[in-house]
Amino acid sequence: MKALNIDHLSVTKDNFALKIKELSLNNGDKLALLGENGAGKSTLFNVIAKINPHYQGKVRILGKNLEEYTQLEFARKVAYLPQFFDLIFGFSVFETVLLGRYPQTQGRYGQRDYQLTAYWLEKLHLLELKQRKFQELSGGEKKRVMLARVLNQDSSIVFLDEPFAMLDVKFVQMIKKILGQLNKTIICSAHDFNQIKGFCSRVVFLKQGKIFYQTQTNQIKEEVLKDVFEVDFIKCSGYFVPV
Amino acid sequence: MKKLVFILIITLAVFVFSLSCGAVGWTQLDVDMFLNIRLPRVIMAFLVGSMLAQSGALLQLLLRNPLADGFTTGIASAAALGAVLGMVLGLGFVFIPVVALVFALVGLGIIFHLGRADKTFHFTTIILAGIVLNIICSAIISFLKYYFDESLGAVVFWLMGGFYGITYAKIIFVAVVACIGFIWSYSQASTLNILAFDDLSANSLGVDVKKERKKFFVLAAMLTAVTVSVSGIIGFVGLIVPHLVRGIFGPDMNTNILYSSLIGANFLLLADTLSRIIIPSGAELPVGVMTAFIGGLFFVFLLKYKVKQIW
Repeated sequence: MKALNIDHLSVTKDNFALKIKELSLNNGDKLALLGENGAGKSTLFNVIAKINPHYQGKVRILGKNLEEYTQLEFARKVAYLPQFFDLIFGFSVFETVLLGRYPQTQGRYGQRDYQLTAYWLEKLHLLELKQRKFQELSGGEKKRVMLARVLNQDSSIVFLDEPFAMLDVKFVQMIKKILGQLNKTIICSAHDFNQIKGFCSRVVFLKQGKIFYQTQTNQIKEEVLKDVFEVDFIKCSGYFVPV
Repeated sequence: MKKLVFILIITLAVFVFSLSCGAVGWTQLDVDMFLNIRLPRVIMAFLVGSMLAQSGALLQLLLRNPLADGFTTGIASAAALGAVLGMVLGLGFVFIPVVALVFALVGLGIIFHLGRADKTFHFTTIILAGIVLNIICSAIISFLKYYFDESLGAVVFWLMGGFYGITYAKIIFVAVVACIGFIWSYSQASTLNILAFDDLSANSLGVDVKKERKKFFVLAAMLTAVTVSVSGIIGFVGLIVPHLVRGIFGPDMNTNILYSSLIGANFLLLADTLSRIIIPSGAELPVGVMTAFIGGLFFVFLLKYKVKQIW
């Protein structure tokens, strides 16, 4: 059974159209979505994360069509970190991460939920911030808290839309390591190829709403990056640098 | 648990205080006056305060707006228009809240429509839409008052907010609605917590945001409409109390719903008691005037100093 199977997906919004003929992922696969702003990464996430129901084609998650899931059932299988997020009311960092246990518990949080929350706070170096209010944090801190909230959901599939934006380099490295060790199916979008190197084995390049190219991460060539991002790249110790 | 016991003790004290205060002193009060005038009024002020605070707590969350309550969003004015129309048409007590609810829901729809204009649902847009709704509804009510001068004489006083002519039948009706509202929102408090997230995050946590939001909007409108039907427009209880509760007890909606209900009830009961005894000659002030005064000052304080700390 595939973790994700997309068959002739088509989404139209204003003047933009996303069309994906075929894309599938096995359990445990880690896939990177690369592309410029407006290439369709977030649009794709919003469909496969069961947020936007206005699409044509078939999307199956763990063998079931998206429409067959209730919102709660789906949240038990799939966690999603949107690119932009917000939380009102002055919830603390600890409470915010604990709310990630909602799909599994429907709000009746027990010992195990508190333990898991503490685990992810520690793993993402957030223990010192746990009493602070979420709104008072910096952009990068908020991102880490939301990532901890997503991982605390303990689902087998995780979608991450730009998880590295606004993060300090040391946290990018730390989170890449954590994601690489997870035994989960992950789709992660990014602007920068170098950010996904090391934990995603496959890359899909999106351009103007279509799959432009897909390959194994270790087989990317400068020419492809140039075609996608319209900038020259040089390869330097396995990393690509724009020139 | 200790906090709850403390608040319950305060509630009891406020109740006793309110029952013992009034134009007629404790010693001259006969049983009939106590049972038929003072007790129903105290119970009604308590219930209405609880419902107003609850609807405020819900609206602030659902509209993601620190300045929202039944009054500032204009829902109360829309409900009042419905209630006045009900009175004009000579409808009975049970039907007036229904008409008020329909108008409150229409008002909510208008606010949504206007709020969507800038596609951001920014809280100033919602409040501006509320002001627009308030103005339009007030204008129509003024016209109705002018046109049906004779039959709507009592409306003027009722609109300012107050507890007059309270019967036990009304109390039972309002108590049922208050209980439904409380049990519904309190049992769903964990879901409400998730609605504090942005829509995408809340959806991804397994909450059908559109559906849940609609449900709770109807509940908030129902609470507002019923309170307006029995006691006119009483502003600011729904604005102040949820903020106060968040400041003291934290943001969790489990505690917010519970304590907003209790503290809102106490707040309005105290305000009503004060409005009964503040004028030495024995005349009384409409309670809406009292809450608007306290609320207005709090509004200024909130805008100037506190928004970031408790929002």
